[in-house]
Amino acid sequence: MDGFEVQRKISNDVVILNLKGYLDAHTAPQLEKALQTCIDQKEYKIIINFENLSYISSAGLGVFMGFIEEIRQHGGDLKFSNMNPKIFRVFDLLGFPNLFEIFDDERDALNKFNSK
Amino acid sequence: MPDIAQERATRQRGSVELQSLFELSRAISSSRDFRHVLDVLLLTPMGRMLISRGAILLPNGHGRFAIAAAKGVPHEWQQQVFAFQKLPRHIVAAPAEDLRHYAARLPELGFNLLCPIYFDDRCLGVLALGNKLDGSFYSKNELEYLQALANIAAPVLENNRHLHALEVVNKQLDRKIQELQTLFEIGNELNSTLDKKTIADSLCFAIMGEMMVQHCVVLLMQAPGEYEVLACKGQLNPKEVPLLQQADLMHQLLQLQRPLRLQDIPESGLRSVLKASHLNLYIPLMNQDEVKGAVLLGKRFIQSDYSDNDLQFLSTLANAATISLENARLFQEALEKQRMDEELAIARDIQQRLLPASPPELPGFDLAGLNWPSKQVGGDYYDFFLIDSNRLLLAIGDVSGKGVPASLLMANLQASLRALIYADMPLTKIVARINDIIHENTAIDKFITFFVAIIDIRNRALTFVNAGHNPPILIHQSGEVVFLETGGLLLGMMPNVVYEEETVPLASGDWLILYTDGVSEAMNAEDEEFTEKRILQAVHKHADLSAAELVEVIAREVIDFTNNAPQADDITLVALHLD
Repeated sequence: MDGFEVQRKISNDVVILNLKGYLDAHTAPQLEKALQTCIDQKEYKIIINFENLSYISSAGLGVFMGFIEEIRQHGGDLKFSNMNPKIFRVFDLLGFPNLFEIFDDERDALNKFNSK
Repeated sequence: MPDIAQERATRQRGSVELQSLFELSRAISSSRDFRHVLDVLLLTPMGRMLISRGAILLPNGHGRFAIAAAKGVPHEWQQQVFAFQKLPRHIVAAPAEDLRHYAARLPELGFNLLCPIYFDDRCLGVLALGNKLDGSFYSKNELEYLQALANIAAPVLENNRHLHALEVVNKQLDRKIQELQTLFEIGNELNSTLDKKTIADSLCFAIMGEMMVQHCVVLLMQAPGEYEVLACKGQLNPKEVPLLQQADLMHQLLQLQRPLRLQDIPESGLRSVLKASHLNLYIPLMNQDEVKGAVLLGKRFIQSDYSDNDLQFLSTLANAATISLENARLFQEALEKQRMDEELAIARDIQQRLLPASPPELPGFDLAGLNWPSKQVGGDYYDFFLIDSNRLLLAIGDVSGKGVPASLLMANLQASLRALIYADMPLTKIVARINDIIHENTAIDKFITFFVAIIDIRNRALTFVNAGHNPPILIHQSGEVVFLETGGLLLGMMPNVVYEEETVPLASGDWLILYTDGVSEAMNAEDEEFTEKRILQAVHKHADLSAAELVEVIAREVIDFTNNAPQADDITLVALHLD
């Protein structure tokens, strides 16, 4: 089975999580941990970059649902970027574009954070 | 020549109309943008006939018509929905007021003409137009033109209707595929782990992603009325969920055997607390007809409510999880049983190692011991060894309880006895000291029945202390039987006990039999005990056997007596025969 990896970088006060590989029920706890770390460190401006993600299942999306309220309550947001069409299709199908901002490029998401 | 001029004008108009219809058909058949098609359909007659107001009404799927495209209509009117009492079969041109009996609100928009678009007897839409700017009535020619326009539009609208239906079906299909994919993936994931927390986490994430919910709680029943919170997702602290603090309402909830939305639950304390906990859906984890646990979900983020289809999907997912959780439980049980078996094997090993491997060789003394442990490992103990060249020690004991604790206590007894026996102390003091040690080392409910004797080999005398043990039987060759009872309280009950000792002479031909209650109290099917009487009978009957042979014969008689019923207790025997 393909692995899954979360790479973390910081740009000013925005945390960027780069997802890589295969995000499903099996690897979802890894993403949960990475997001929990952000919350614990009071980092509420988060961008998820999907460029290197090859697969996402509902369980992967479920992880985001568990954090979004907390993040927004603290004045932050979870923004998505660099989705390939296959990944976007799953998000779209489940109605996520109604709830999350999705950007073509990480830079756009970053600008949106910084423009506020 | 007015006739000719008129004819030319008519012909010219005809040609312009044809051209406009041709352009229209070309525009609408070359465009994939349905909105654009509707715009062309509307703007063509409006431009052609100088009409300032027009709209295309399309069925909205609920038996009504909605404005799909509009020109010259006030913006606030564009969301209007019309209920047609009757649909026009043909073009109707009439004063606005007269259109009221088609749909009540039509006149308010100032329409004077309705041109229905039919395909195969199905009304696909209505082109509604207002007055011409020049105030003239629609001519026969113009009505024919509009009819032609409607005829061209019909197949386009029909195609779009199919396309739209197809899109809806496609979307539903995609959604179903995604659901199946989730079920498949969760099935795999659930089967790849036997850890209940991991199972619950996977279940939560799949549901939260699929349903777009933020809060998900998974509960598992442990015993009737007792449950464990396996997962609590969405930054929820179980301690802050009101429902989880109310044992009686939880109990009430976990009786419910089918999925329930908040609004399906009648107004009650349960409903109020669910509401206060922001939990909108209850899905029981069912195994056979029993509720094994539950999934509780918060509200959906986009669609306000859970559909029947959602409930079905969630139940399927919950069933898969229930099976996995049940497997995990069975596995855990098997693991615990295995651990217990291993523990018992260790206990049995400890016990066996503490028993003497072989009797000391002493001329004139035939000595043998036997211990057949029960399946459960009891705490029986026997011992014999030479303290010095003239003193032989014999001991037997029975530790209360079973398993590892009993074995450890028995090891404690054996070590104490072997250490203290070399001290220059009377036997009574040694036993008193051992009693204190055992008392200090054990809980009040643990005790040992213990018999210890020292035989003076040269003088053939036996000095003993019996601390509550089944009295050993001394059978003189004369036939006289003596039960060795003198001593005191069993070991470990209380400290500072004073013991008594007694000395009895031994003679050639005497048998001494030490045993535990696993022998004397062995039970047959009629609830009768083996008793000392049967031990005595066996000794009389087999007095010619060696000590080793005799203990085995007695042990076999005990087994025969109980008719091979599973042995509840150890069988322990020591026999001494004096030549």
